[in-house]
Amino acid sequence: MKTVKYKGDKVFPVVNTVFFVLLSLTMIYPFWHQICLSLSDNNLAKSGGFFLLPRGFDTAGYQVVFTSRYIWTAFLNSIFITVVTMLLSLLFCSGLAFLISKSHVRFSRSLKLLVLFSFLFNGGMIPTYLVVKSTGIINTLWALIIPVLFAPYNILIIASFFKEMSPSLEESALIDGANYSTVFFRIVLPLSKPVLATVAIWIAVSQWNSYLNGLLYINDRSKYILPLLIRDIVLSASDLANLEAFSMTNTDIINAATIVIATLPILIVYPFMQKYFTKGIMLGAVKG
Amino acid sequence: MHHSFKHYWQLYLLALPAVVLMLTYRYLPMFGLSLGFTNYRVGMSFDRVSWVGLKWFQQMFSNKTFLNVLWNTVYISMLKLLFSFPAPILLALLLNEMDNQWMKKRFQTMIYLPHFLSWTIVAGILFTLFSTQTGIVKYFGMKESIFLNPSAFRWMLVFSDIWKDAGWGTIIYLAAISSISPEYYEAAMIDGATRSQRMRYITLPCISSTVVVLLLLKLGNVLDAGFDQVFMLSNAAVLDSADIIDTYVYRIGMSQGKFAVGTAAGLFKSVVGCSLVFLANRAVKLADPEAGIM
Repeated sequence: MKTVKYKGDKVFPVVNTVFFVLLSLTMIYPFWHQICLSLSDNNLAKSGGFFLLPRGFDTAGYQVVFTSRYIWTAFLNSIFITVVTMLLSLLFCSGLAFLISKSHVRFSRSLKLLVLFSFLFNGGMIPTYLVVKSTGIINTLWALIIPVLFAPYNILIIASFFKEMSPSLEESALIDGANYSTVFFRIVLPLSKPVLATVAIWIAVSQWNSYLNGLLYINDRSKYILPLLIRDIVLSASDLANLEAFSMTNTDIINAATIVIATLPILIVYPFMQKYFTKGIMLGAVKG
Repeated sequence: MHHSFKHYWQLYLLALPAVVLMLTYRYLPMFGLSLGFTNYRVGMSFDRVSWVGLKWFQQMFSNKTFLNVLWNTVYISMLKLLFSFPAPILLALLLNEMDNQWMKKRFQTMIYLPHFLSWTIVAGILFTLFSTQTGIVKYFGMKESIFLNPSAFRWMLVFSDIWKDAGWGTIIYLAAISSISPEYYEAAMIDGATRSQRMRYITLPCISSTVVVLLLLKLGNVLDAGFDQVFMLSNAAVLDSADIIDTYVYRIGMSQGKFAVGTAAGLFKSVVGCSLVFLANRAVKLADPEAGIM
């Protein structure tokens, strides 16, 4: 193919690449800063500025964080709510999505409207709090799980995927005498792995990071999830303040150590999740 | 269809848990919104609750604090609409022009990353970066903390929002761009269109429907300036310019126990948000019947 080359066509790629290199540095440096700061010596860190490497070597920040009685509890609690929510929400949401995707079945259309409306309008913080309270799950980890299992946007996405699947497999299974639950668990769900994986990542990320529900529904330290504990540490309001080590170590260094510990699990699973990112959003684009 | 309920019972059974959850945690609270028209306070027995009509709404709109909160919410949302919303579109256009696929992938990996962090973590990162003790701002000789400066604070909200989510936001636009037929570009190149002309006259018009859908959803959230972000980053010194409806509802309702007033403010927010989506959707449909979300 013969194309006309312009002067701008040579300059632009260079400028563009430089721009993205700088942008990537802005995205990565803040993490590097935390790692360096968290390992730095207290006095050397005080001069501030950019960190190319840790200044000196001191793990005091990590020691302080790990002596907090609640860090492991918070970790386990966060893992628990993330995994349980992911599994149950996927099961329940695709269950309803299965019905919604069959528009000829009775109630399917009206349920879809109910789901859509609940996506656009909600009762708000206080009425929802009162319902959660009256269902008796307040101040338990279930208060962070049960109310978010129903996720309208995810249901609509999964339903649109189900709808585009070829019905022939399902029909032949039904003719062979299979019932709907067999079709659902043996045919529909296995064929929907891409969309389910994507939605699973969305649920996991939002649960792992969710803060407001914990703030509203959890009082006991023993039921704290990671974001709640991080905030306490970052605001230095936690029980760390009572520890002797605290007075010796800079709060910034403790913050940095906390951030590194809390970010590590995300950085570890990040590469494995990556291939599902685009697929899912494509599905979202189809819906729009 | 001649099939009966009996034929489909397993379908209904599979849908049942989600329906029960939806009715309990989504629709029951909507009835709870009626609290906004009562004198209910925390701990009050329900037989003492009585209707007060629009009292709280009238009070809200003559209350300086609430009007300030409303103004902050709209102001911060508008700043985000102006700066955070176009950022991913621009980034997607630039990423799309990158010819080296290997490099493009690496850049994507890096700019998606911050999306996966919670605001608690991002706030912690910002606190250390801008710390007057050990932060990078010390390098520039900054003495006063940016977190205590009311006018700088709103801009920090905008920039941290862009830092966290602009990269992730490119995905949906890149998906839309990837569905554009390459023939358009080939034809344009034969006709001698420059790179910027191709971006302006092919790429941008082809993703405009995606832009419109996302803009509509964003408009619906105009009173939703971001609870987690504001709650985590703000403090008493900047409250006057940082307090938004959600943080106000939390403070009034959950901390001070004024459930009725908090509910009324929340109801106002939900109704405005929902109406804006419907109105904007109608307007878009008038211009182009194919566009919009519903």
